[in-house]
Amino acid sequence: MAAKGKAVARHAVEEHRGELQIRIDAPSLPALFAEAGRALAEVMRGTPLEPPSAWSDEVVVTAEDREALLVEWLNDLVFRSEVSKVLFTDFQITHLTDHQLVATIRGTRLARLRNPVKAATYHALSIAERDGGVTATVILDV
Amino acid sequence: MTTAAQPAAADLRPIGPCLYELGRAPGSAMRVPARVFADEVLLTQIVHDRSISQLVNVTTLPGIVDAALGMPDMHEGYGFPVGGVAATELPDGVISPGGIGFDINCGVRLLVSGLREEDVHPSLEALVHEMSRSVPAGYGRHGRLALTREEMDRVLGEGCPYLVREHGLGRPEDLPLIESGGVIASAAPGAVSERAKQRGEDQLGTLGGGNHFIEVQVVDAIFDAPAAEALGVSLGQVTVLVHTGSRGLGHQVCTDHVKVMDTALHRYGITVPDRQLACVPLSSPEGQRYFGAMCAAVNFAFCNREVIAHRAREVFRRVLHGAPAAELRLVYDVAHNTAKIERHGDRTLCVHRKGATRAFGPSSAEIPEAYRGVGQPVLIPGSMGTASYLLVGTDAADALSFSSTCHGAGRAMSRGAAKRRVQGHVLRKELLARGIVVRCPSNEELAEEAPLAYKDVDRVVDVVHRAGLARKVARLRPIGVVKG
Repeated sequence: MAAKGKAVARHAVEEHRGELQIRIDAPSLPALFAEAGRALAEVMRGTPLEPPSAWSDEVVVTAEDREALLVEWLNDLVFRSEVSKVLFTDFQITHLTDHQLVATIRGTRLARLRNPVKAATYHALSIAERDGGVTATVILDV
Repeated sequence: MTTAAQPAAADLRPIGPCLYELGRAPGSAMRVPARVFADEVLLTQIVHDRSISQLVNVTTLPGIVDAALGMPDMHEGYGFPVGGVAATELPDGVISPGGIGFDINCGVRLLVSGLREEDVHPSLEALVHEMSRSVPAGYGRHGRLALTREEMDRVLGEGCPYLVREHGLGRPEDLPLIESGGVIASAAPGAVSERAKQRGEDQLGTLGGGNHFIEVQVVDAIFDAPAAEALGVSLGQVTVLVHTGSRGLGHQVCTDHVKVMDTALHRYGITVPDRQLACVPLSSPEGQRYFGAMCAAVNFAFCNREVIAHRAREVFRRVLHGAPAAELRLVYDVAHNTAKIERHGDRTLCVHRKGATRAFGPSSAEIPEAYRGVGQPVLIPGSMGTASYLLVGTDAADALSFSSTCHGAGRAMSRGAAKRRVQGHVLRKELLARGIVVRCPSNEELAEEAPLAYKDVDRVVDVVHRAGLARKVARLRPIGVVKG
């Protein structure tokens, strides 16, 4: 899957013996972070209790570099999902540097999240510019 | 540094019974060899994923001694392989959260009843159903207990003795039969973040998702009659096996401290081939803070299994109308994702076990008095629908594996591959046809944990036995499964 010529971001859940690997392709870094959030939501899933985007929050995440920022962003969503019982599906990245992300996130409360995600890991983590876009891989502990 | 390439089976040379070694390559960053306990069949399965290259990465950790060890259930993980063991020598050796994993003190607890299979058969559906109602399963599910912040700190700091004494959950006689007595004294609740406490505050007494489960089982084979008698286990006896860990609290502790160590390791001149192996000297402020938080999460997990055992006792009592034989007695509770400070020979070591079980021998002073001369009980759950095993530790395992053994069958297939090969509703019917009642939130999740997705647990346990890491005592056959 190449990012070249694509106006929209997309993701795929790839094989890993013990866990789950997600691959994200996007035309820009902010789009990549938003798509990573959607990939996480697809893995978790669940049965909504209310209309989409009924729940919203502001998120600020900081990290050592942009790869770590992607892990911390996903881990922030894992934490908020578990504590609030909310699946976040809509992400507006309002500020993004290599060290900080600010976003508005929206989602819906669930009776139960379908699939467990314990955390995003740093193992085999990568973000690379490719064919005019950006590609990332992250392994989730499930 | 770059991640090591995956070696082939031929690169590992046999050096003992069911033991293979990959020596230090000249000029490589390996500080010690990598060793794998396996037979030829398991070794072939193990080299199919990247677990040995992950084990080679572990050999580069500062302070590691003797060898990085792979257990026969080893498979690819992140940082350490699952089924990986490494010991670093104190005071300078490192501690790595990647050597313990996110599910801190994921572990197993075995309870036995005085019932035979025929006693529970008419009530099996009700037992499994009531168990699934009493112990919430699934990701982020909340339990019947909601801890105040003061109660949470006491659970984290004082473990099972607090739970038994102050809340009447569990029994005093359980305590010596839990690894470390159900409490690690080095726990530091203050080192556990607010986020971790928030995740855990309503999760005590919950199973979680993934491969966690509660099984009702029957003892269907005895391999060592004197040891079985000493552990109070007999042929045909109904048992309960609980497999779960520290839930969201433990996950968050790992998340928090990997981030800290990823930033801090350079201050100690440490580089690692995989960022998930981020580590610092255990004696450093960051190392001490992680160790205190990790031990607190270990205590939380011991308490989680104690509450679940309490619920299982309530269910057995209620469904079987208070029959004396329905009382559940704890045999043992073991952790399989921890780092512990242990004496091995004349050295003090930080032994990381990631998907590996502590297995102290019969002469150890650290096992329950009742089991001295027999060995520490070791519980090896199989995959859903296959057998689990009860073993006891050996004194020889001290020199072989820092007194460690495997933790399960070990995955042989990804979740996606399992779902392509197995239909959950078909598997459910097959299990039922074999007399196994299953409660699982969805057929899809059932398929992910299908027996064919795992290595052959009989073979894995045989390797453990033949390598001298632990001795087989009994085999347990499932008749009821509550899947997380």
